[in-house]
Order: sequence, then C-alpha cells, then structure tokens
Amino acid sequence: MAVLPKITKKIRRKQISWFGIAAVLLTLLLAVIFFFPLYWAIVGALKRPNELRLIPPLLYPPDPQWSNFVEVGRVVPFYLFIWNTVILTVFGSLGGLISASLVGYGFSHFRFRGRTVLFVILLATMVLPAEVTLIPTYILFVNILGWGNTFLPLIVPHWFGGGAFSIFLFRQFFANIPKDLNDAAKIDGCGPIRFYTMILLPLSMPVIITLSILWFQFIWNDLMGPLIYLTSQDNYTITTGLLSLRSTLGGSFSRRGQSMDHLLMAGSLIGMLPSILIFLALQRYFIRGVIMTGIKG
Amino acid sequence: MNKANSVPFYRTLFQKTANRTRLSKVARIEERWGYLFIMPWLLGFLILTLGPMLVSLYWGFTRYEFPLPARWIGVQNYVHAFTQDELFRKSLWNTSYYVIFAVPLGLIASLLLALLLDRRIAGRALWRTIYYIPSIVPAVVTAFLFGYLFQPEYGLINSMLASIGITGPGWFNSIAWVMPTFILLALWGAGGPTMIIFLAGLQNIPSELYEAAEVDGAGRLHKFQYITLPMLTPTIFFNLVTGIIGAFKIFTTAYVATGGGPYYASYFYVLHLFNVFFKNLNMGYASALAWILFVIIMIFTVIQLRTAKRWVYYESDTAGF
Repeated sequence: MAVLPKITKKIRRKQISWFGIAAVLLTLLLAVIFFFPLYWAIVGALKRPNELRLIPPLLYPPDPQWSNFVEVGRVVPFYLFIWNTVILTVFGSLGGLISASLVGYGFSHFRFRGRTVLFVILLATMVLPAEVTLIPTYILFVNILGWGNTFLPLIVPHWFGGGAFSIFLFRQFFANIPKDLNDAAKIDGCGPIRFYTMILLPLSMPVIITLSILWFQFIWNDLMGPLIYLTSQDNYTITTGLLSLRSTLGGSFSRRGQSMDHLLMAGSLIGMLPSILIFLALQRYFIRGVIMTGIKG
Repeated sequence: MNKANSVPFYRTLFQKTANRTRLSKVARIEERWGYLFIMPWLLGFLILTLGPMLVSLYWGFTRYEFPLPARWIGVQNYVHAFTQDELFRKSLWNTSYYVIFAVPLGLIASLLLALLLDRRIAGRALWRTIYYIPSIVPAVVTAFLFGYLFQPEYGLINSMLASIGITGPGWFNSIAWVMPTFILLALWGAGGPTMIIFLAGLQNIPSELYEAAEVDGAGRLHKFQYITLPMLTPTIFFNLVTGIIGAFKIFTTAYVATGGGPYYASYFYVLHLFNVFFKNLNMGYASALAWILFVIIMIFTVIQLRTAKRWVYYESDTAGF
C-alpha cells in the first residue's frame, strides 16, 4: 500500500516536466513574438535612411542615430503635438475624475426622489455607441457654439459626469465606506462638501489612480475626436500629428525611393512612450482597473 | 413574493419614493444636496446624450446635406442603405467577416496566454507585462508598426520570406490579404485586458475541484474539458459580448493602415459612417447609419444574453455577483 502512491507520484512528475518544458518554451516564444514589433520599431527609429531597405535586413542599428528624434520635430512640430495632447489629457481627465466623483457621491450618500430611476438610466447609457450622438454633438459644438478648431469640444464634455463607468466605480467605492464615518462627521459639524474633500477623496486614492490611467489612455489614444474637431496643424494631437507626419514625409509605407520610415518609427516611439512608462510604473492599477471595469481600450 | 413579482419593474422603481412624498425638513435638505451633486451628470445626460440621441433619430429620417437645412423624407435613408448603397453592404460584409474571425481567434489566443500564465512559472510577472504591452500601444501607432513590418517590398516579414525563397503576399496592399492582416493586428493585442479577465477567471476556480478530479484519475485534457471550461463560461461570455461590440466598431487602425482599401477590401462600417458624415457632410444619412449600428449591436447583445442560459454556468452562490 505504501509503495503504490510513490510510484504514481514519480510517473506524474515525469509527465508534468515534459509538459512543463513545452509550456515554458511556448511562453518564451510568444513573448519574443509579442515584443518583436516594438523591437523592430526601436531598431527602425535608430537607423540611417540608407540602412532601412537593405536585403537581408539589418536586425540592429549599426550606428544608432539618436538625432532622428530631433529630426522628427523638424519635419512637423511634433513636440507641440505632444504638448497639445498633454493639455487635453490633463484637463479632460481632471474633469472626468472630479465630476464623476461628485456624481458618485450624490448617488451613494444622498436619498432623493427618482434616484433609482436615474441610476438605471445612467447604467443604460453604457451600451449606447458614441456614434449615435456624434453628429448632433458635432453640430452643437462647431456650428452652434463655434468651438471648431479649439480644445473645448475635447475637454468640456468630460466635465459633465465623465461617463457611466467612472461614476459607477466611484459610487460602488463610496457605498462601501462605513456609514458610521458619515454620522461621526455629521456630528462634528462636517458638511457634505467638507466630507467629500477631506474624507472621501483621500480614502479613494486607489480608484482615482485606476481611473486616471483609463482616462489617460482613452484621451491620449483618441483619433476620431481630434480628427473632426482640430483642423489646423498647430492644434494637432499625437494621433493626428502622426498622420500629418506621415503625409509630410510622402504618404504610406509602400512609397518607393528614399525611405523616411526611420522618422515615422521615431515618431511612433515618442507617441507610445508615455503610455508604456505609465503602464510599467502603475501596472498593478492597470490590472485592477481591467478586472474591476472590464474596459478594453 | 408573488405579489411583488406582479408589480411592473418601473413601478417598483417609483414605489420607494412614492411612500415618502411628504418629506421632513432634514430629508428635503438631503435631497437638495443629492440633486446638486448629480447635476453635472444630469445636465450632461440631457444635453450631450439624450438630446443628441433624439436629434440623430430625427435626422435619420431627413435629407440633411450640410449646410442645407434638414428636410423630412421618412424612411428613405434606411431604404437607400439596404437597397442602393453598395458601400453600406460592402462595409457591413467586411465588418461581419472581421467580427467572425477576429473575435473567436482573439478569445482563443487570450485564453491560451492566460492558461500559460496561470501556471507556476519563473518570471511570471515579466511575461505578463510583455504580453500586455501591445494592447496599450495607441491604435495609430499599432497601425504604423504593422505597416512598417508588413511593407510588401522592403518590410521585414517579406524580406525574411524572400531570403528563404518565398514571395510574401501584399498584406495591407492586397485585396485577398488585407483582412487576415487586420486579424493578425487584432491578435497582437490578445495579451491585454481580455487575457487579464481570463486570468482572473482561472484563478477564481476552486482548486478542490481539480484535486477531486485528480483523485478520480482525470487527466489534463479531462480536467480542462470538464472543470476549466465550464467554470470559465461566465468569463468567456463576458469577453465574447464586449469583444463583439468592440470589433464592430473598428475604426482607427483601418483608417490609418489602409483607409478602407485596397478597392474597399477593408472598408469597415464605422469608416463608411465617418466618410458619409465628415467627408460628404451628409448628416441625415450618417445619422441613419449610426442608428443601424446601434440596432445591430443591441440585437447581438440581446441574442447573446438570451442564449447565455444554455451554456453559461453560474454557481448559485456567486449568481448575485
């Protein structure tokens, strides 16, 4: 009786190790495949123009041209585009966070007539595709309010509640804050606004960080918004700026003749660097944000 | 219980408040604060959601070629879409093609990655980071990276193929290959949020189930088939619904990589909507197209919710989650 389990254990361990080796190799191989397009962009960004189209291709930059990152700013005002995107991202995210937390506070800590109905309506707006409201809001902003080619249409809407997901997250978080805390604050003569700024906001830092990341990604990566609202080049963002860089360099990658792909890759790297740095620094919050909201970019 | 069930849903919503129409002073103050705090959303909802929704519904029934005024034409826009507009049909076909391939393949890839990372493996956090990074690269940049990598004449992929004597396809430039290339591009993001949600789902499966199965002599495949997959169905379902909605709205990568070409071979639905709206300034028809998209997404979501009962397994004690 004592021998039998030992044998089966031995057999099992051998099986696991073969399967395990295969799994580890697959994990490594996939990591290489997933990382390769990024590696190739880095290599491309550091090459000289005449090194771009060699056959067989050069798998590394023989003499890294860091000046390509400066050169890209000479072709188009690329660093101005980054500045524009930073402004949009900061003021847009700020509006989303502030207004969503206020609304979340309203829904979680106050009783008022129609609260449930309004909250159900709020949740229902999650399924509405943005395309449905796109055209009337465009006419409203550009033709009625005269906000065409300004940052306003890309910032102001975020100050009106910041979307159902953000409000929902704040409400859930606030609802879990013990009622005793609320009562104690009231007895000490703490009004709703002080309770919000002094107690709720400091307590909800995890939610705020998670949502900041989602907001950052959402605004930084947006193409459609800047494409329809920002018409002059000095107002372009990273996304429209990259398109402008490409057309200035002479169109798509299939172009013959002298290649300018090194500058396109340099621009691409600059465009994605902030996202990647923020991700590496705050990975934990990214993962949590995904699990809490299920938002997929 | 029965009595409560016979009351319509919307009535129960109002009931709570109907019972206390006469409010105390304290309650009235509380109510005022409540309305004050939700005011940003309430205004935003009325001005930026409900208002525009109704307006676009109306414009969908008008001929509205900006800057000419809108004129009521009934259902002509919808009739035009389904009977005359070939680009509408083409874009709907392309989008369905993309959804049918990119979503299931993406789910399988994400699940595979999650299964790999669910094991006790050295450097797990590092692998997870590497798998995840492609999904945070902005879509415009992703389109650039793939355009560079898959450039038909000088791109790395075709150069490598050429060095072993294979003439690579035209990828984004080829009518036959452009859709598979977009599906590949979608698969590059498989290690992102979808994988993380799968990973969370896998880690929620109680290990006792596997232990019990092992005692019964179940092998790896059996455990996967009879424990992992059934326990994972709620997660698969969630990823499927959100994946289909996301894939239907594909725009940025296509706008950047091909602009819908070659010969409309990658002309997706939202690309068509965007062109009708922003290039042709045909606001009436574009509004109708937006509502068709909305209805399609709703139909898909409802079908999935209806059929979910047949294949999604919810454990009784987590049903409320």
